[in-house]
Amino acid sequence: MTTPRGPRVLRLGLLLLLILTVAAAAAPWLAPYPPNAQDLAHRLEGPDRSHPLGRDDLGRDVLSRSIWGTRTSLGTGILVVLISASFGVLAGASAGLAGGALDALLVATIDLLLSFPGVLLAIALVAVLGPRWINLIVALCAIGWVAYARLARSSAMRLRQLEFVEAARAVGATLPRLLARHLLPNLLGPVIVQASLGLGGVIMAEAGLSFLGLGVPPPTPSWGSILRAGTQNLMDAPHLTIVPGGAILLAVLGAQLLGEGLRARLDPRGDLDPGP
Amino acid sequence: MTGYLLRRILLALPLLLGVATIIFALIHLIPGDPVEVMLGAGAGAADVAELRHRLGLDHPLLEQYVEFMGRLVRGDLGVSLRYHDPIAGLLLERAPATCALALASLGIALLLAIPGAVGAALNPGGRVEWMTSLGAVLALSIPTFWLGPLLILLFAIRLDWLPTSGFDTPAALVLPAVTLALPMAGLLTRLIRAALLEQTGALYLRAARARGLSPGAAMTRHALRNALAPVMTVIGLQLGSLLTGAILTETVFAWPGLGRLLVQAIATRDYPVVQGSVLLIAATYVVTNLAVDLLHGALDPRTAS
Repeated sequence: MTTPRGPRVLRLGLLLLLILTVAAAAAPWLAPYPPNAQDLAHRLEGPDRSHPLGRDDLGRDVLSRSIWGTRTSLGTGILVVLISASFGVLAGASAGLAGGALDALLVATIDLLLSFPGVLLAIALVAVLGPRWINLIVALCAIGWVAYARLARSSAMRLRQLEFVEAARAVGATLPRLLARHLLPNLLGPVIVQASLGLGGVIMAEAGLSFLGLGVPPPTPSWGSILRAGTQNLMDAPHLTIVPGGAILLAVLGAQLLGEGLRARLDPRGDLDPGP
Repeated sequence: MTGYLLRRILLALPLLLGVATIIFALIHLIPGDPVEVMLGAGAGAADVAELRHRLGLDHPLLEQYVEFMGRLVRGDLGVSLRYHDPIAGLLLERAPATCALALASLGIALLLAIPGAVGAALNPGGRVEWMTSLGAVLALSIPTFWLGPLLILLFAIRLDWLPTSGFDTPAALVLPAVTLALPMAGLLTRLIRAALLEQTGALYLRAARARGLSPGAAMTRHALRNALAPVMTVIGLQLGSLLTGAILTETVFAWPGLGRLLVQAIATRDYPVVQGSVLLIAATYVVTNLAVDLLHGALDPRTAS
């Protein structure tokens, strides 16, 4: 959609996400301290030689918690995107191909979900279900699948009108066969673009919910919950705010750039949603 | 035109009904006994029974639903468990602060986005376009709940120019509004630029240039007007992320609006207030989008046919 575009953007996005993935995978070896080791005598202490990013409100090492937090944020993000994309594509494609009552039901559900702005519905869901990791996943998927369903549905409806699909149906091709043989291969490109743009949105939403105390429960480290402690101790410990927020910025930026770069290659017309 | 108005309004009604139904269902999604969850572990049996009765949770589900909808139509959202005040009153008290924040942010976002977008569209592929694109993608990637504390550190603590939080002076609006505006500005820059670029080949622009207008004047006086109509629809849709962004921004700046009310209600398990504030935010969103659509129909009659 926008310059700067092209392969450079794609490479930069990939590089950012790759660095974070390596940090997440190698967290036990990269982190200098256990992420939950408390040291209340040194709470909120600023950066020094042994703790280069300082310590948090319970004396835990901020560098170690930020590295482990990569697992939470990236892991949750990727899981939510995978579930949302699979479910959304399946629902949208079958409704679009089948038409009729099934399609009407899907459209009504999508319209209803879209009448809740942004992550408000996810906030409300976690608020009632309780702050647990599984509930966070459920809430983010509940709003996340819609973009993929719309994409798959519109693609299916276009496909339904094509002559070769009509011919395939005439000779007895079933719905699952149409889906697997004709629709999914066409959808792969747009879905990948949508997924990488959506990943940024999900990482941001997870961090936001954790910031509000509605994310992964303590003591599991997450960038959003470190920021939460940082804002509560902003005057005494600015170091607690600066690093985890920067990590969120890099992750979301990486996903955005990757998505934009892929879009320039795979979807030059640019009719995709940016996600939640 | 009247038919379009009517049809569009009738389409919004089932949406509002659906939203209200989801809000009603929220309280029944609480795992275990919602009343015991609200009162906490140490509550006595008599208190639990009393609150269950007060919330009407001792009736059959269908009856509860009809009762909930009936009260909603009369503007009765129930009573807060924490403040013991009617929720409708609490929401009305907090709404102006959120409105002020959202409107100020929208204004700032447009002020940031329009010059950048015009500059970028005037010279596609140039340095201005490259810089606005970079700025836009950064603005879209910055978490508001990080930008806010950073602005506080710089402008309130280090430089001491502006207050850190609160609602007392107009100066207190500056930092929260800028924080909330930035992601919106990023998005609007992209949209307005794309909408302007769609106009570049238009004959009326060539006519304007032929009359002697400079490229910049032709762009701002003629192309921008045409570009803003479709952008308005997106602004309506983006009001949603503005309202949810306000939840985070209000939390950072202790801004006494609806978002902070919602977050505090969640923390104190004041579920009726959670229901009320989510309902108000979602309903505002649906109604604003309806209004934007109608306005769009009035500005550009082609969409109404």
